[in-house]
Amino acid sequence: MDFLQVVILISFITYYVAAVLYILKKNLLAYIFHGVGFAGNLILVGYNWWVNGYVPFISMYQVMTFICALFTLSNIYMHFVNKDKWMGQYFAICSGVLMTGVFFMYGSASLIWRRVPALQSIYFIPHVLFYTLAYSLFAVSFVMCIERLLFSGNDEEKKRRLDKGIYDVVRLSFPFATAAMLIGAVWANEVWGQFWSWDDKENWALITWVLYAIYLHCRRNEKLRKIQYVFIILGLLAVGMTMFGVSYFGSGVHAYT
Amino acid sequence: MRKSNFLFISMIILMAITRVVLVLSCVHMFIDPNYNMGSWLMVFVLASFAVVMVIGVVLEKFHLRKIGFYALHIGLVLVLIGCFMYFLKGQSYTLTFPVDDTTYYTVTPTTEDGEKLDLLMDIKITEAVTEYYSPTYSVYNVDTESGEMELIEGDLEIIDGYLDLGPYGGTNMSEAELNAALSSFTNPTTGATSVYYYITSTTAVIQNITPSHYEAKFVLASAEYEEYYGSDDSPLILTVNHPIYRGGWKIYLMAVSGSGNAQYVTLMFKKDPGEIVTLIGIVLLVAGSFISAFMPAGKPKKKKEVNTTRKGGAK
Repeated sequence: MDFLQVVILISFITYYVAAVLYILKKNLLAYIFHGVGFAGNLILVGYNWWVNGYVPFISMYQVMTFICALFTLSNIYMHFVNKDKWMGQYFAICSGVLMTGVFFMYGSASLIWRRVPALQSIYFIPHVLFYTLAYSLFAVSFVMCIERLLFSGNDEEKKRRLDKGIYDVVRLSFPFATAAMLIGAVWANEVWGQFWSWDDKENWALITWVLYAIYLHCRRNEKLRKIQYVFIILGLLAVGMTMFGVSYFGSGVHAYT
Repeated sequence: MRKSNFLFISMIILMAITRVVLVLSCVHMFIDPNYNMGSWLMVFVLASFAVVMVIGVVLEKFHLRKIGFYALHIGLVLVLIGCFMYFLKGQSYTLTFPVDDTTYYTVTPTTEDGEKLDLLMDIKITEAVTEYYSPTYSVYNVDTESGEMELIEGDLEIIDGYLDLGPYGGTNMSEAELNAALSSFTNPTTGATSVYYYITSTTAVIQNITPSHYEAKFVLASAEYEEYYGSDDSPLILTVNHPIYRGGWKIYLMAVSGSGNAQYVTLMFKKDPGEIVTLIGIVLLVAGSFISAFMPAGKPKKKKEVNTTRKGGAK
């Protein structure tokens, strides 16, 4: 096991420990472990960046490492700006799960990915950055949704808090998903000559976007609110299909991603 | 129409869009990769969606607080209108030209119906350039029965003229020895070319070559505008991600292929009457979604009533 694998291992263990500590309401200890996990995560992101010579957004390994770090940054935003100080365990769990995947992906592919000419564009960084941010927040909303549906029992206060929390997270992530999709469209028009080519990746990104749009519309009506969480669950399945399923089953202009 | 009823209708339309895109994308992914999703069915669904959004905007009682809502929905309608304009009147043709600095070729694409069009342009490709990153090398274990390969070590580079294969090659290999040992294999099914050599019967070194830059230089003569664009001394330069407008067309560099005296350049010529409308719609849609998220309309905050009663009774 080399240095980077050790860092990945420490990161995901400390993320999981932080999640447990948050649940046990040992917040100070949770912050420390979360910080250690985040520090390890930053080392990985920094190393990937240095090895590539540019922002590490090319391979699935690089993107997942980056998303893990984004969870903590999003948590900081929700904690200090949105004043939602109780979401730490959800972000820590998501970071831990994804970092576990990073651990098993390490070594299965080259660390260095060179950007082909089609990826040498000013739209590349905002497109991928906004998508990673949006999808990471969608994942957090899914975890909160599962707790709301399966582990809230008769605690009405907890249910209300989770309802609001899920809405806050999706409301924050939706504009980034919108911007990412449309920056991609503008970029596609510059490189392939059409805003939308009904590529498999684009189709599933659109399905994802529409599902979360439906969720947000559900929130506006008391009757529709009863089915709102169906779209959070379907939305995350669509995210999974967009990020991973298309690579295995699909083809088209996004085939290299 | 009541707003709540309208919300139900818009939800039904949104769900319909999801289902249509889901079904058609599954057809595209699992059954027929050549299936054309940009069909009249999709146009009908998206047009219905646009109509619903227009109604939604009209039904919503106007207030400046809802600027995000208006921008988002109007932007989406404009995007759909712009795309529909291209669907109706847009033109795009992809052609391949040889690199030949002595000959002009007429730009005469063939439509899907087999009709030959004359775009009233002649083009001379004077030069095509492909640049590559310095190659890296990866060592793989090869299962000789199944042909599957497992990466052992990646991202090896030639340093000071030598490739160090460490435990896999026994000794350093000079660049000259490496180039002599490398063989080239073209997959007859995919057309992809691999450059490799076997260290042992089950361990192979693969050379990874990645293009870093594509460029085409050309001169364009437009009969429609009676003008030459570029010259032999100062040709137009076209690169990926940077299309140019000339002779009434937007020209894209799609591919550079071949080598030596048999090089070819693939260009796309496009006219999109809805491009500006689509771009304006995109800007409004993105701005509207951010405004709605970070400045939700909500209800206006009630002004706090001033309590004039002092604590502890009267003065």
